[in-house]
Amino acid sequence: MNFFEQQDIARRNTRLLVLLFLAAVLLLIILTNLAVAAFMWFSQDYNIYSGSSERFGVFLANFSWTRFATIGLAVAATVAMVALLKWLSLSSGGKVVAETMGGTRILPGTLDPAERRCLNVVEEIALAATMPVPPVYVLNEESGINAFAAGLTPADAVVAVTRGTIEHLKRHELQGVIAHEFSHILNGDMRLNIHLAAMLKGITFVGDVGHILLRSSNRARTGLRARDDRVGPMLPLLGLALWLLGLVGAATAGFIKAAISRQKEYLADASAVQYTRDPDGIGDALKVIGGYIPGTLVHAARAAEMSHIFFGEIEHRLWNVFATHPPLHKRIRRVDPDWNGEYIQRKVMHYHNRPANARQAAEVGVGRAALVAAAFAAVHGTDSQVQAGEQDLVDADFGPSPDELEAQTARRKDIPLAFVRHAHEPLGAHALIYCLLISRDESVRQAQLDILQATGIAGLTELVHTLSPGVQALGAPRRLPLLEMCLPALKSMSLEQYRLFKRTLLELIRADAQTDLHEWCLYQLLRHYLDPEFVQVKPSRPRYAKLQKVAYHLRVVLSVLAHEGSGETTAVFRLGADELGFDTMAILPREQCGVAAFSKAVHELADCYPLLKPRLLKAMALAAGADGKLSPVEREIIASMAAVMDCPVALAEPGEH
Amino acid sequence: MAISTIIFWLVLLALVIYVISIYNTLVTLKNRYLNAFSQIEVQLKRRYDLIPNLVETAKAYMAHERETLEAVTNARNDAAAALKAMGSGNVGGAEIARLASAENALQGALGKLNVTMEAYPDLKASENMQQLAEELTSTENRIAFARQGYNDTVMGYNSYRQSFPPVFFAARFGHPADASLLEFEDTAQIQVAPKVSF
Repeated sequence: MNFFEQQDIARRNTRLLVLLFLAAVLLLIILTNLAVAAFMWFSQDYNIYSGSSERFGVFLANFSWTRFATIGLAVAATVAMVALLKWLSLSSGGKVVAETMGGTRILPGTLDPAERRCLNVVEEIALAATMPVPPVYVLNEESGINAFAAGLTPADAVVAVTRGTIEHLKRHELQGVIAHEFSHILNGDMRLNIHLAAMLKGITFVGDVGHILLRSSNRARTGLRARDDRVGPMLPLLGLALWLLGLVGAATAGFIKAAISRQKEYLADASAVQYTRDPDGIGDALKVIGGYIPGTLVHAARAAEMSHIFFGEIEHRLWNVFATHPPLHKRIRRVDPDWNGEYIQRKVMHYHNRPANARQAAEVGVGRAALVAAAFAAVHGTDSQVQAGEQDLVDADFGPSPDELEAQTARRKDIPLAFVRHAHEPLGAHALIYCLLISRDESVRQAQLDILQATGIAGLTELVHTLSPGVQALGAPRRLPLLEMCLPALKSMSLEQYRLFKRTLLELIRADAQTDLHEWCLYQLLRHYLDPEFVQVKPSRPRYAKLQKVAYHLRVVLSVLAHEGSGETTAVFRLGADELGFDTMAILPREQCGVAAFSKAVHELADCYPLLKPRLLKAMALAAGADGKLSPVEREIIASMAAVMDCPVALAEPGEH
Repeated sequence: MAISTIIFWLVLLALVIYVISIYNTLVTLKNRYLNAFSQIEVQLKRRYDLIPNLVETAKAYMAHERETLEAVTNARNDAAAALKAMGSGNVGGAEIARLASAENALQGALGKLNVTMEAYPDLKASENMQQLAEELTSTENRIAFARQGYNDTVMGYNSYRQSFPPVFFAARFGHPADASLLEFEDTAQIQVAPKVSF
């Protein structure tokens, strides 16, 4: 099979069909236009000329192109408006689509062999297609063999596969399926589909208007309100015309759209062969689907409206012209012309031993609690125990395994191994961050645990409960490294989860009705590192070109640093102020250096011109380090200031004193 | 201004824009194949990093097959050195030839190791080995796919460079020659079926 030739044919067919689709839309708009125009004239002239046999002649005589064009523009604008609205609602990023479909992201550190293999295959095909590696999602609840790609551009595209796919297919078949999805991404099929769907919506809208008119005339007849005697009798006719137009138009356009979708599937199959240079991969995958009882069915609630993006048909269809995918046997014949017509029968896997997700998470949480208890004991100096723990956990005969790497990190950063392990998976990372905020005061602590309970995340409260004494024992010096370690796992949250996470953080901070400096720092740091992953961050607008303009805010910040830091208060302040050229500036008393004032000052400083910021932060670091070392609290303050001001700063490692 | 003058300038503007787009497309395609080439190196490096793990794992089970294991280690070191020599910027015929022969030796040694491992069911069944096998398979695939991706991008570049209007401009815009497809140094050898001896 020559796949380049097949790709050319599929592309040409697609172009023709898209033209046809556009022509159909245009024709429909013109016809609607005609119907509306005719209606306006007839309704005007109906009574005056009733009984006259020359009604049509009058119509022609009154005809003017300008009025016709005005009506045409109005109709076209309405249709375009509806299409635009639909387009906006459809064009969410790939991640959103995958998550609404119930997908969970496969993390790079996964230990499940099937997921590992799937990630590897995606990276392989990305190389073959010379494209960046997209995130991979798995639909754990689906046992049918199916996959989809979503997202409008290669940059925000994701690939999602069902659990059945990654467990049931062999490696080369999985390659074929993934390569097929990559073709959809590269050829911009998602974008085309959304455009077509939006236009289709515009067409059905014409029919909807007709329907409404038809019904409104019913109401008029029953005597609710006969507004306009002249217009009245004509309205249902117009409604009927529009309704019929919409019906026929939608059917035609839907038919063309399905045909385009089928061409795109052929193109993707041919491209799958190009990327893998192995027609058996995609061919065998299709044959396996043919012999597989669950087939390609997907049951996720939102799947039906997205049927066109899947690898195979997701539900049974009675009528082939509206199918978004070509029949299986035709697809197989195209990649494998010598096919003998037999599907591959493979024993169906059963998924008995997969516990419900929530329960599983809870069990993991409790299981880890024991591990954490051991680590906690280790912090207090029972070395033998942690030795034993590590022996159990690290594979003896395998060099830099992930476990070993974690152990190394633990030793280097002086953080218990169990914490490192938690920091690398989302639930644990959540718990660790919350632990940093848990108060030592018993009543506040209980209130905070209640807040966590209210989030409804299974196993979270228990985990926080067991972890928090250990985290508190770590103390200030290791808070910052712990937080940094949690960041990668936290980045894998969904947007919804992130919103909940931020809300919970704020509630925890406010549980004791006051905000400590260290809580403020923690929140600012997290916000700075995580926000860009989830929301569009507005860059600050530089307003202050000279330090003199922010003198008061500088004074506040330096005072806070002096009071909170380890050095001698006035000396620290003096050093910082002199460094910035404020010889006469005097330190503020402690009462005026609350967290609120500090926060406001730092946010004002964030609006300095970019070149001023490093100078500012350097002066801070210099002042704080005046006594020969940077205390952990000072580090935290400066790091979070740098985060708010969006200006990186290099601080000496704490271990280097 | 007369209509004809306006049309003349419009046509001229369109032509200029078209020529600019040819230039930009050439640059894009060239960078794409250069990037694809560097991907191959990345994947080769990945394999060299994996092999020590393989050897370590195998050692625990097949202590008395030291020779086979040493052969793999040596071949791996040679190939890594050859790749490093290329990395410092001198990509000439000699360096590529050296890398190719080192790669060949490595392939041979790995193949022999695979055959030897068949005799150790414990080793094959070990979880570490299965993980490693998956990683190795993936890496071999990645190298093959990276090569193929490179060739595909080179094909795109060459076809564009040789197609009708661009062919006039390509040489002037600094694209005098076709990019070369990756070929194997031992094309003749590949044609011959490998000998199996016991």
